[in-house]
Amino acid sequence: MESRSRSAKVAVRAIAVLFLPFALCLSSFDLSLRSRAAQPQSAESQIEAGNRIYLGSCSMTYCHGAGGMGGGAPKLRDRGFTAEYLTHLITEGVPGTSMPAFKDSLGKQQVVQIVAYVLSLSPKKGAAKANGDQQPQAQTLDPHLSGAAPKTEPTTSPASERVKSDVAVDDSFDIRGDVEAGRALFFDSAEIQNCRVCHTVQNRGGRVGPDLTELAGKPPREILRSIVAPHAAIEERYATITITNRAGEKFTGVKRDENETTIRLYDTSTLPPVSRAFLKSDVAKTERLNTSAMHADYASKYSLKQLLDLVSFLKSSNVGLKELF
Amino acid sequence: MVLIASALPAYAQEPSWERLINSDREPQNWMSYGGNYAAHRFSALDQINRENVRQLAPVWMFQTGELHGGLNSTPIVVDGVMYLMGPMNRVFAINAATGEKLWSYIYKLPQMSIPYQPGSRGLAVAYGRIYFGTLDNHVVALDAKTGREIWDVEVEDVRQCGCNITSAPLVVKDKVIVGGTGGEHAHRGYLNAYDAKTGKHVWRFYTIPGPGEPGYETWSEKMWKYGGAPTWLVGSYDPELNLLYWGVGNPSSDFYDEFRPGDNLYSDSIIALDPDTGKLKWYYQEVPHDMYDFDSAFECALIDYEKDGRKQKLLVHANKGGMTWALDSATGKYVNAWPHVDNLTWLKGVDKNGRPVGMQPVPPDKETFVCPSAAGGRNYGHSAYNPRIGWWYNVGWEICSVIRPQKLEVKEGQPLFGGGMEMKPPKDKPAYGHINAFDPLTGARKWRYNTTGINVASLLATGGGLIFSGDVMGDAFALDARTGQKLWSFNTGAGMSGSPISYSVNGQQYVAIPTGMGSLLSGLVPFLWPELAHKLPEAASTLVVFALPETSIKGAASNGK
Repeated sequence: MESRSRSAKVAVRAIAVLFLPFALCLSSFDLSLRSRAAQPQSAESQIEAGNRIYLGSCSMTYCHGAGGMGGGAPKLRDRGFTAEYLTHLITEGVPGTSMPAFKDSLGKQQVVQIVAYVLSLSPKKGAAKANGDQQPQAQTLDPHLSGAAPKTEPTTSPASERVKSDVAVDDSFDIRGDVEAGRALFFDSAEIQNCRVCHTVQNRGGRVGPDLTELAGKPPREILRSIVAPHAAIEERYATITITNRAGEKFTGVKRDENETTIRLYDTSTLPPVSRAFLKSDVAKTERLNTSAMHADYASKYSLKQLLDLVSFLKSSNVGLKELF
Repeated sequence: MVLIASALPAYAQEPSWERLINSDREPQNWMSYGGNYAAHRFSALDQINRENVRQLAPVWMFQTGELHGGLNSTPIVVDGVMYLMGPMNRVFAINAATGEKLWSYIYKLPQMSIPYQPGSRGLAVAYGRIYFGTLDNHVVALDAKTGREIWDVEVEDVRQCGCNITSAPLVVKDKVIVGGTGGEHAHRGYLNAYDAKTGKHVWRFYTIPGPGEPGYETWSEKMWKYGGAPTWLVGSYDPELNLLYWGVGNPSSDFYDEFRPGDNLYSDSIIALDPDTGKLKWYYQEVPHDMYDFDSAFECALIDYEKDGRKQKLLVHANKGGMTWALDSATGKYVNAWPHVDNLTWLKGVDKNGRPVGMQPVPPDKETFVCPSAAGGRNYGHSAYNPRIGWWYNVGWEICSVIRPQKLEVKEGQPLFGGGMEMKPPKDKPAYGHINAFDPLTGARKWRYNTTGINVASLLATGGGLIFSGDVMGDAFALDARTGQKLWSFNTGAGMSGSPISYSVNGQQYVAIPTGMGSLLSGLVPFLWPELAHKLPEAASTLVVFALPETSIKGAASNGK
């Protein structure tokens, strides 16, 4: 836990020193993309950039093979692909197959570059010819995705704004939470009992407990209270129930769903929660409890700084200690 | 035999732990992934043998109804009922004598892209339950009689770890032990154990040590959380030593190593764990600082080797890099290593401890030609061991690749392959493949059978002196286990990448062979063997089951029940 005895200056400097490289590292990726996007690229450099991304994303293990062939997935050389088709396939993936949707991991500009590269593996008869266009292939791409429209994008990245606001912390002492540190804690893969095993934020995470995305609109102290004292307020949908089966065994948790014959319960007595299915004919008793299924030990499990980080993540802004009291 | 009575589940139904661990006493059944807990893939049944195998004919077939992912799995048979994992986590119970479907359970996968492959290699049966891992990274228990879901627990969000489960769990006493994929993603590999009765998480062994743990020094601070080292196949268990053995896959950023100086433990290693606690007992690393994507994830065959009155407990393990290691299974001490393929460029030899020497560098800024390829000197098609003959049977692939390393951003759960590669034939000759019989200690080769293209499917050894498998062109076949001579084949019409098994019901021996490739490995065939391209079979997902005609059973030796 952070010590209150530290001077404000030290704290501010420490946060700045700790946070700056991380934030810069996070933002450098986006910034570099934007700086590239600002100057329309030549077809050759698009293809070259596309090849680099392709090697790391598309020629994985048994997939498309370096150079578009020699892998286990469909070969990409000498094909009649159009830019639109490739863009859609790369962005959305093919559900139910090993072809992932790259929209989560690649920027639009990178997709444009991969498309340019893959098109370059086939003789110029596909997209270019169909359009009656003698321009290099990279320039026949969807204008909405190409590098020619950078002006509509913001010139300052959110990450660089974050850096500014953190360095300009008020001089009077305050510990501030950190959105990114909170995000890391929420999803910490080294911690089996992390928040995401039960909760979702912005479409990521488990469905056992409430979706916490809407918490962003609540005051920080209310969010903190819901973490450290979960029994105070319980949403009816997530009420705790106990199911007793005919053998006399009791299971406690949150109802997952039910149909005519079966009721399913997220057993939260241990984490990660275990979904259990009960035949209704085997259920002797169902009781609703007035406590939350959420474990009540987070005040001791997390340090104050970590709780601030979590509140900050859920608020999507770095919350100061003062805002909690 | 050391069995801890208190660790046995009180709710035990069939098959019990006692039966599972002594499965060699029940040749009529095939109760676990490897046929037994020593990964022998041996059926003692001998009704079908060298003399009559030519009369083998299909008696029933089962369609999983889903072509995506083919049929990669190992069927399980207990007391006349077959449990089959199809692609996309479709689970079936089937009358093993007639092929009649008894129940099905179609796991509801979310709309998502599936990492690694849509096929699945199997399930485990114990205590009246079916256990399996899912393509979206859950572990599920079903009631074996009805197919009704009992519990379901998520291992980790598949979108966060880039990992999932494509293999069968291994039940050890009261625990279900489950490995996962993730070697080509920024992910920290692990093995998880769940309580077989309740689904409660019991232990997790990370295959990459964390700060303060021995072996952490073999990683960089940047990579220990993201270094791959997955557990994507199925382990073995020795009840006398109470040791669980599991093969660990490659480090991520496979071809680009700036981020990961050091040996990168326990990537490309065999780990021996206490199954009750998940604590490491010993490890043996086959490929320190892997630069070639040479997983050591394959089966650990446990062989009681006896020669000239000397007995030795061996763990025999084929690596993707075309080398086979024989270790002392009690201590993990190196005993021997030998190549199971002809074309190896990545090492010059091994030192007295079995550590590779003269390892081929893979510089970050140029192309490197490496044999075998990253697809392996073999892949997940498993070996078989015939304890009566004392020979170990393994496939070999003579394929190389050109590796092009590339630096990538390390981002949790995202692909982290560290470059690309193109498959190539060996220098100055076409690509080829083979099946071999070896002395498991010395590696002395007893025979070789040249396959059509690469043999992706597993091998099955039987008491009838036969080796069964199937090729990518659709031929199921049987070889003479003593000579390698092909004695029988049947064109099933679909390439094979699963694991054949044998079992018997009411005195009739059956051989069940999964057909339908559904593996990216099959995509290599038309590229390396263009002459086969136009003949390649279409997609399928069908189990084809063979038996002898009634007339030839009479008089044939049978130890089926």
